[in-house]
Amino acid sequence: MAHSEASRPFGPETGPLLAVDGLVKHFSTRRATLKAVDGVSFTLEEGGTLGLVGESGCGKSTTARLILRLLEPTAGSVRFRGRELTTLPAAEVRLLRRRLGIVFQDPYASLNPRMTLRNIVGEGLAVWEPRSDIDGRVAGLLERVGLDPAFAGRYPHELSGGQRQRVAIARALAPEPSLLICDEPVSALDVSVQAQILNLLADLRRDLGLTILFISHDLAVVRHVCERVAVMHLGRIVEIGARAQVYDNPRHPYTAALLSAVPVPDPAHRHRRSRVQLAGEVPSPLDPPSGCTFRTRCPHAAERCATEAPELARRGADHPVACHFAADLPLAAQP
Amino acid sequence: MNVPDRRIPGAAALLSVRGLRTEIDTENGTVTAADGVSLDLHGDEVLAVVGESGCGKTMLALSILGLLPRRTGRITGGQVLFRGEDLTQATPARLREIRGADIAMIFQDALTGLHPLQRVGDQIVEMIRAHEPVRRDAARRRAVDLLDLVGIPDPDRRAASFPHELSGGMRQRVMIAMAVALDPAVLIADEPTTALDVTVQAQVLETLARISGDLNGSILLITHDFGVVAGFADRVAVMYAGRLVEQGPVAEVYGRPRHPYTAGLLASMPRIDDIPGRLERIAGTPPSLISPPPGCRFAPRCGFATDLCGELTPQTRLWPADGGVTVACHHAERVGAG
Repeated sequence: MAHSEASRPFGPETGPLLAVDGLVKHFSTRRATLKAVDGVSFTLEEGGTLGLVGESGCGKSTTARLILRLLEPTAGSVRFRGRELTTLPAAEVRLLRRRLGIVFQDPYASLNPRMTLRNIVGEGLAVWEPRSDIDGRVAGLLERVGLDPAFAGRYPHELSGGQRQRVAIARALAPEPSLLICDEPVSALDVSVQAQILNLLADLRRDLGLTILFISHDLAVVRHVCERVAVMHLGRIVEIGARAQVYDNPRHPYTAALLSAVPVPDPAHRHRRSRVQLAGEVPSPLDPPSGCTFRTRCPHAAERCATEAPELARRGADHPVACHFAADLPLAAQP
Repeated sequence: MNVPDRRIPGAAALLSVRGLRTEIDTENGTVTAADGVSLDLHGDEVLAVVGESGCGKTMLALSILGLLPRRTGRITGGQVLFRGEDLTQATPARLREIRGADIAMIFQDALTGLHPLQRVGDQIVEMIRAHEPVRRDAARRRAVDLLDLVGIPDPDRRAASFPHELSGGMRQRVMIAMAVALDPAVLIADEPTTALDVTVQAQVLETLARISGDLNGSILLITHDFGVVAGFADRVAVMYAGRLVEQGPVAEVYGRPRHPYTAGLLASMPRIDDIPGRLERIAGTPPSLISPPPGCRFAPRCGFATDLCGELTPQTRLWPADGGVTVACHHAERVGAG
C-alpha cells in the first residue's frame, strides 16, 4: 500500500508538509469571547511526528479541527505542501480531507453503528475506486491494522474498544493520506490495549512513511510517539522543541510543572523526584489572566508577567519558549 | 514512612475481605464481578486495587459498602469483616450507620456524589448532623474548617457555592472534605483523580495523602493507573477478570512482578522517565465475565501459559515464602525470575 507520487495533487515537494501560522479561533457568546486558539504557529516536516500536548481546554483539539476545516478559523494560515487551506473552496475541502486522515478519541462515537466494517473502511475509497476493487482493498486495510479480514461483514458493536480504534485507523488510512492527525487516539483505552495501538501507529509510520500530528493530554504517551513536542496552555503554544529538549530540559515553568505532575510507575520515584507544586486554580479560558496566562499558577511570576504577554521567542536555534524569564529560571530536569 | 510489618496475610486487619463473590445481572447474562477476592486493609495504610476497566474493582468497592445495585447485584459468598463485624450480614440500618462514619467513599465523578441543587457547605452540615447530635451552627463551623483542611481557598465563601460553580479539582476536594467529616477509619476512593487534569490530579493526591496522614485513616484506593499507585500506595492488589492475581508491598510488586499480567502491564506503559522504545504488549483483550475461560483467566493472553493453566485455577500463594507477596500463577517462579 505504498503511496504513489502521482496521487498527490497538492503542491511542490519543498518546505514543510504542514505550516500553521498565527492560527486563531475565537468563540463568541453573548457575555464573553472564548479564545480557544490564540495565535498558534508550528511546522511539521514530511515524515515527522509532532505532539500537541496540554490539559483540557488548552485548544489542542480545536487546532486539529481548524487544520481539517471542521471548524473555520477566525484568523491565521494553514498551508499543506505550500497550499493555503483556510481559503480553500468548500468543494475542495473534501479532497483535502482525503490527504489528511483523522483518528478521534472515542472509537464508540466515531464509527457509525449501522454500517459494516467493510462500508466504514470502504467509504473513503468508494468515490473513486471501481467497486470490484473495494473488497480487496478493505481486506488489505483491515489486515494492515491487525484485524482479521473476515471481520469485514461485522458491525462496530461486535468489537472491543481496541478493535474499534483499529477500524478507525483503517478508515483514516483508506485514502492514503500523507498526514495522519490523531486526537487522543488512546485515551479511552486500557493500558494493555493502548500499547497495542501505539505499536500499530509506530509500525504504520515506519512502513508507510506517514507524517503524524498527535494530540494528547498524556505526556508519557506523547514522549513515546513524538519526535517533536509543542506544549499548549490556554490557546497558545508555550514551548516547542525536540523530544529530548522538552522532556530533559524544559524551559517553560508550565512544562516543568506538567512533567513533574505525571505519576511514574516506579515507587522509587516517590522520594527522588522534585515536585513542582502548582498553587491556585486553573484559570477560566473565558476570563484568562492578563499578560502571561500561566502567571496565576506560576511559582516564578513577576510583575512584568501581568502586563506583558510573552511571545514564543526563539531562544536557542530550535527550542522556542514563551516566558520572559526562560533564560534565567533554574528548572529541574525531569524526572 | 514507617510501615508496620504486614507480611502475614490475615494478621489482624481493620477491614478484611474474605473470599468475596459478587454477581451482577446484565442484559447479556450474569457477571461474576468478584470471584473469591481476599484482601486485608490495615490501620494507617494505603492499599491500592489496580486493574483495567471491567475487572470488577468498582463492584468490589460497592460490595464492601453494601452499595451494589439493589435489583441486579448481590454478594453470593464470602465475608467483609470490618473490625470483626461481617458487613455482608449487616442490616441496611447498620450499614447506613457505618457508611460515612466508619467507612466513607469518594467517587470518580464528584458531580454524582454531590447534590446539584444544594450548597456544598449545607451538604457537609447535613452529613454531619445525620450522624451526630450537633447544632447547626457548630456543624457549619466544622464544615468550613473541613473545606479549609482540604485546601479550598476562602472556605467561608466557598461553603455557599453550588457544585457547578466549582472547578473539577475543587469539587473533588469538597468530596474529600465530606468523606473525612466524621473521621472515618477507612476511606474508599474509587478513581478519585481520573477525571482531572494532571496538575490538578497532583494537587488532589497531595491533599488526600496529607489528610490520611493527619487523620491516621486507612485508604482503599481503586484505580487503573499504575503511576498513581506507585506514588501513593503502600501495598497494591492487582485485579484481573474478577480475581486478584497479585498482592504485596508496592516496591516488591513493581520491582519484581510475579504475575505475567502485572509484568505485562508494567512493560506496556509508556513512561515519562524512559527512553522511547517498543512497548511490550499483552495480546488480545480481557475475557467476558459472563463466561470466563476455565483455569487461569489470563492464560489465553499469557506468554507463560501451559496446558495446566487452561485446566486448573491457580491457588493464591506466597512466593517467595518470605517476600510478602501473594500471587495466583502456576508459573510465578519463571515470571519472577525475570
